[in-house]
Amino acid sequence: MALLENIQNNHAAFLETLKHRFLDDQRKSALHKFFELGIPTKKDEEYKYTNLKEISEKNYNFFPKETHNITKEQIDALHLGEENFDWIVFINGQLHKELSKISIENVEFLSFNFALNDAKHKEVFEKYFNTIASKELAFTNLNLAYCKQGFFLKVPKNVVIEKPIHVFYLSQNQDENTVYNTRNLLIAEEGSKVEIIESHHNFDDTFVFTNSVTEIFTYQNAKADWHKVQNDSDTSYLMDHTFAKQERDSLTTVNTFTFGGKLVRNNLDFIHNGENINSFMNGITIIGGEQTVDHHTAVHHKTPNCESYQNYKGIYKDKSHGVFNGKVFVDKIAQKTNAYQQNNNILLNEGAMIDTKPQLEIFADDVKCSHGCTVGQLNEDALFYLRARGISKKEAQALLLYAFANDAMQNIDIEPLKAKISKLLAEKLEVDIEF
Amino acid sequence: MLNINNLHAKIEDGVEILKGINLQINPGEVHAIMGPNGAGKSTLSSVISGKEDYEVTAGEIIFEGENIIEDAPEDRAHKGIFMSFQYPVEIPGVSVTNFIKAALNETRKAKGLEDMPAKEMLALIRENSEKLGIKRDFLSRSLNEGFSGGEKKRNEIFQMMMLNPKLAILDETDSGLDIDALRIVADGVNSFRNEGNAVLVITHYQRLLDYIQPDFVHVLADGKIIKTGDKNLALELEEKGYDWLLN
Repeated sequence: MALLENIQNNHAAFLETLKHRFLDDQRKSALHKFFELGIPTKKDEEYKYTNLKEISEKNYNFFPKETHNITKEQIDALHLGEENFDWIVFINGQLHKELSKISIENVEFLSFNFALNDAKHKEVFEKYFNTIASKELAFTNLNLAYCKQGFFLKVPKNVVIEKPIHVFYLSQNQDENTVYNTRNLLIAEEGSKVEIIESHHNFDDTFVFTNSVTEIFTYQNAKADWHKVQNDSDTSYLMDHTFAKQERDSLTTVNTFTFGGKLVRNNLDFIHNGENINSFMNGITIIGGEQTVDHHTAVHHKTPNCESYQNYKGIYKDKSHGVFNGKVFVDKIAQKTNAYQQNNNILLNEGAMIDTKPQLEIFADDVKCSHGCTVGQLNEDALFYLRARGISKKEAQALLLYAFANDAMQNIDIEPLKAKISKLLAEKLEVDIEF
Repeated sequence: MLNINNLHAKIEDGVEILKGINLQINPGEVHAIMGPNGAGKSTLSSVISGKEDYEVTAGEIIFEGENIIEDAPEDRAHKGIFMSFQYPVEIPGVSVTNFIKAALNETRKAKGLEDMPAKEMLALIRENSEKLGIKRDFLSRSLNEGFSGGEKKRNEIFQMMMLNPKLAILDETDSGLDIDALRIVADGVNSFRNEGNAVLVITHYQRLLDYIQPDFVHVLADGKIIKTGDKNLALELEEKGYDWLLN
């Protein structure tokens, strides 16, 4: 398999590109582990419905060309349309400070690359790095073996970052298919508050395979929101693993909005380490053509009095394929757990497909856990009602689909982001409505 | 304005419900259709507004000189047909205001007009909602979601007044309304009436017709109109029921 060969053959050369080599041993073991595990196939329960063949059969360049000719206008077009955000721009694996806007003070922000190359950040690596990412998954091991671009952000105690931070991962000027192993680390210390928006964009017709791993640590009374806006091109693959560990009284939200990308696989893992924790996972997916989007979520309720909410809405057109597997684990001592999971899907035509599987493993006996999966079409009566008032069939469909997806947007408190998602929704539904 | 000739219609792959309807409505007129359950009253209004569950097997519906049988529901709306639903659908996530804006502007677009300027739209909304006693916060609620029966019906009439159709079909508008709500709805309809438009009221009960006085009353039974009279016919039906007509 092409990808496997590329992974095997490039590692030694990759290690030579790093200035500080203190992670070398970990990286080599991870590579070894990756080959032991192999790229998941349909025989793997967690990849039963998602075939990764189109990713693994291609050849990729592991050393992207650093030069680019992305214009300021092109970057502006990717913004949500507001000036009071901060943003961080990575292009072809490199942080471009001159294109970024970082006004946040008293926080430790570093590009991963920089942190790796600076021995004085070793403490971070010992305390946080790779401590919650799974060591038993192929792609997390691949990422550890090869990660170089990404960012590390530590928000100190009681610091509230007022402005959302939008992180852009851009790829351009690559003649060959390219792999990016992106690594992010977010630490929200006690009482702090931070919001991240993440998006990836491939400007070329060649393929990009992004294998991303993110670790989020939320401490007592802290609030961390991470919004993934996945609207990449048809020649993009995204494998995302995000791990969130929460201490008592904390709130962590991960919202995933998926509109673009040929094959997108999202893996969310929330781990509770205290009481009164709230975890929110919302998703809105609208895809068409021959796109595939797979959402795998998991919440581990290990302690009492915690709540988790999973709300995923999917709209599938043409021959697209959606997969949802939501897991909730409730340990024996996690009494008074409140876990809610909802996955609702609409198939707009024959040929679209959804595989949805709720999975609840509950060992405590004083809990409230609910799950619901629906697959359906649009309500015909509602469609007729709108059309009888003069609204065209297409716009009526769009209104109903917007209404359908709407409640998964309740958790967005960033107005420009809400507006952008609504706009992307309208674009994807091919209508000109302002919702 | 409306000429229905020998209309036959059935549910797709099902039984024939309308078995030869003939009806003529001229501008300025109010017609009432009454009849026993299952007669086809709601089917008639659904077929006129273009519900795709029904198939027209014979006859024609001529509206303003054009046969609209092949027209999509939204096209019929653009031509000036409005139906107030017996069971208005709940549409969570779409506000009353946004909905009416979309509907109005789509109709304008179909006529080659630009969107209504926001100021004008707001004034119109305010004027019509006041007439019906609809409060401001009502307008930002999701369409019909959690509305009482009366609120839903009032919202239907509000939409009618906003869209200002040529032909308004009121399908069992009075069901679920108390006396006060009934009066408000009737006042709304009466203020809408003029020499240029027409109203078709479909009802079980005579009561509404006290407030919205019809020029013609038709009795629909077993898919056909079996009798036509003036408003006194409604009173007679109230007193005697339908049996004397059916036998």
